[in-house]
Amino acid sequence: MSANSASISASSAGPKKSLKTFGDDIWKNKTAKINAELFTLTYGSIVSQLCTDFERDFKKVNSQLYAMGYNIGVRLIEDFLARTALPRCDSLAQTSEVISKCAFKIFLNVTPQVGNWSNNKDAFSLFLDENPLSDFVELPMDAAKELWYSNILCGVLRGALEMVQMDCDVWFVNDVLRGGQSTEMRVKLNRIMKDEIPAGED
Amino acid sequence: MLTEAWNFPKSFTFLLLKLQRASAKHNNTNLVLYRMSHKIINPSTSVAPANAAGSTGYDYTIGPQQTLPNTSAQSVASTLAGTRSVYHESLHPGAHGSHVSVAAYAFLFQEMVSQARNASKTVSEIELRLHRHGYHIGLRLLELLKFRSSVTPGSGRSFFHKAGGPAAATAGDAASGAGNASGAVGASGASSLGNAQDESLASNITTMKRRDLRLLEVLQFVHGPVWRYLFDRASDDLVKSSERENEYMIIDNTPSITRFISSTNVQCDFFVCGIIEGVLDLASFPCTVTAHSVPEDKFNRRVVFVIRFDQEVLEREALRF
Amino acid sequence: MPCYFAIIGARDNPIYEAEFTSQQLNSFPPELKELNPFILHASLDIIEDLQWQVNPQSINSGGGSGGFLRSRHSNNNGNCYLGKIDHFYGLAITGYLSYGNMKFVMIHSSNGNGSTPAQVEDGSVKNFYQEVHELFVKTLMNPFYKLNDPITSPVFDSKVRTLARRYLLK
Repeated sequence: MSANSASISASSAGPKKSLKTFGDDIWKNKTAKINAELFTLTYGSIVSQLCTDFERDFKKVNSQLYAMGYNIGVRLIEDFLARTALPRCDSLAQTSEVISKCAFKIFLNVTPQVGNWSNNKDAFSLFLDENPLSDFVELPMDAAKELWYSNILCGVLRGALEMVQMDCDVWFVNDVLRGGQSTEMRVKLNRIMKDEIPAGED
Repeated sequence: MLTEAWNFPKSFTFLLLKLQRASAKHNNTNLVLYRMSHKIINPSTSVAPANAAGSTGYDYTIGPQQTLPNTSAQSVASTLAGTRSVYHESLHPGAHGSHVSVAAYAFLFQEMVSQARNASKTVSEIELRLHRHGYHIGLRLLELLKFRSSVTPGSGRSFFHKAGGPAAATAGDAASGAGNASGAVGASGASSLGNAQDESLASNITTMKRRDLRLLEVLQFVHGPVWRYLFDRASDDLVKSSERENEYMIIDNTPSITRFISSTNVQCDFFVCGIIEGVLDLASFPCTVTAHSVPEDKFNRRVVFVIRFDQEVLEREALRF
Repeated sequence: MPCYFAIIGARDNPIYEAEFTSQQLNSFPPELKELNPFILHASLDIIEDLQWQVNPQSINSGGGSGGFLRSRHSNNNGNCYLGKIDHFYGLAITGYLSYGNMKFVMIHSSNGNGSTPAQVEDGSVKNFYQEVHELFVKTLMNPFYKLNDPITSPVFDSKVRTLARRYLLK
């Protein structure tokens, strides 16, 4: 166990620092930017409209947001790989760092903290101290127990990781909007689809 | 309580006169009935002050609650201190991250469009949905941008320093000009964030920006500040129609939001139409906004937003100014 | 002095109401208290007229009721704060309009038992309105808030009451 974790930290220690500079650099110099509030407002309009459309069935809203995110994820990964030209990750630890310090940084200009690793290192959490989706949001009473406001992010990660042959479950375990201490997304790797033909290509 | 109120016939007749004035103007009995019924359903203004401490906010079925501001308001505030709320966030433009990538926005926008497509049966329904999204945003932009622009320029910096307390201020001073300035400022910014959230912008405002009363003023607001906020530049032109009195046009040679959508069926500019209409509507300039693709040699995506004001706007304008 | 405050939406519907009173400063006489919503709604017409005046405050303070009120802000040309717009048996009524024309209205009562007419301290009343305006903008920023719906948030309520304590009940 200790050897395992040591090797992970060793393999991720190298790129860890450079990944951050790498992500920062792309954000700073190679990314076209747009007003974050417009992004926040647009997403807010989408979610509140979905709540109306689905007659406040928040479970449906969650899964619709997830589906929208999935659609984004499968297209976003191409853009991401083209812009970063990063090689394949050789551990989930490295993947988590890339997600946090590059992907989140480049697209949303935030860097969630990675933590809460499972014992067998197949699952981790992303802690979103800042979340540009949810600025100025206060959940209505009836939504506070069921709605995962930023659920689109889970779909994005799920879709993007699937495109690089990682079959993952992604879900929210906590959200400050729901009165939680932090906003925590959980990523669990089920398996790596090594030699499979991507779905829909045969 | 009610009967006591009726013991004052004198004041009440006076009041009735006022209400008649109201009805004469609006020529709308419903309105007055509503104003009357407001009184009728609302005999409980004298909620026992003891209840106020456990107040859960304004309950419109009960009416105004009384409070002893020296005691209960404080206790309510303290019990609510731990709850996250929009009211603890700052309206300061620098309080949150200022930018996201255009790519992220494009992906979101595309998904919004396809969501609108899937939920609609006709093209006009898709356009209506996009328009509604824009309208939702436009309503908010009018209040937000006007309010923000009331803050005297420069007080933004003092806002953060003040919020950071003496520690942050000295850190900033010491670091000014030094090599590690950015680091120190970053640190003080982060540490002050907790306090900054409760700091109001209003305390930095001496005079509120004026409400726009004239048609041209409010159009200038859309052409300038709104466009700059959305697209980082003013719109390319603002023109009055020579044919129709109530028609104005805002021209965008290079629309930036819709350039990611390659579709001939759906006019995604309806989203922007919605934003414009939301701003103007809330400012009491009701209108209809449509988008028309009018390419010119150099700008093949050039869009003309046509704004048609309701007749009442022109009438008011003629009457007042 | 006790005050009755309300925000009125575009359909003449109150979206928020509160009474600010305190032990030291009396409350509304019970007979007047019931009339507050009435008095306030009756003044909405005046606001709708002032809404489109270029200088709503100067018109007002220059008028016949100006004796009550010595506006310190008659030369500034802001048009959100309308100043004192009406009076009713020793009560003073002030108004404020947000950019989206939400009507903020307040009835100020005098300290005593109605023998002296209510005084309006324009500077602090204006500050109060501006601060509440900011809270309203925050309310509106929430994507789940629908314009003209009642504002039921307890945080909003407690913040407004805190502001009332700071600006109105000195």
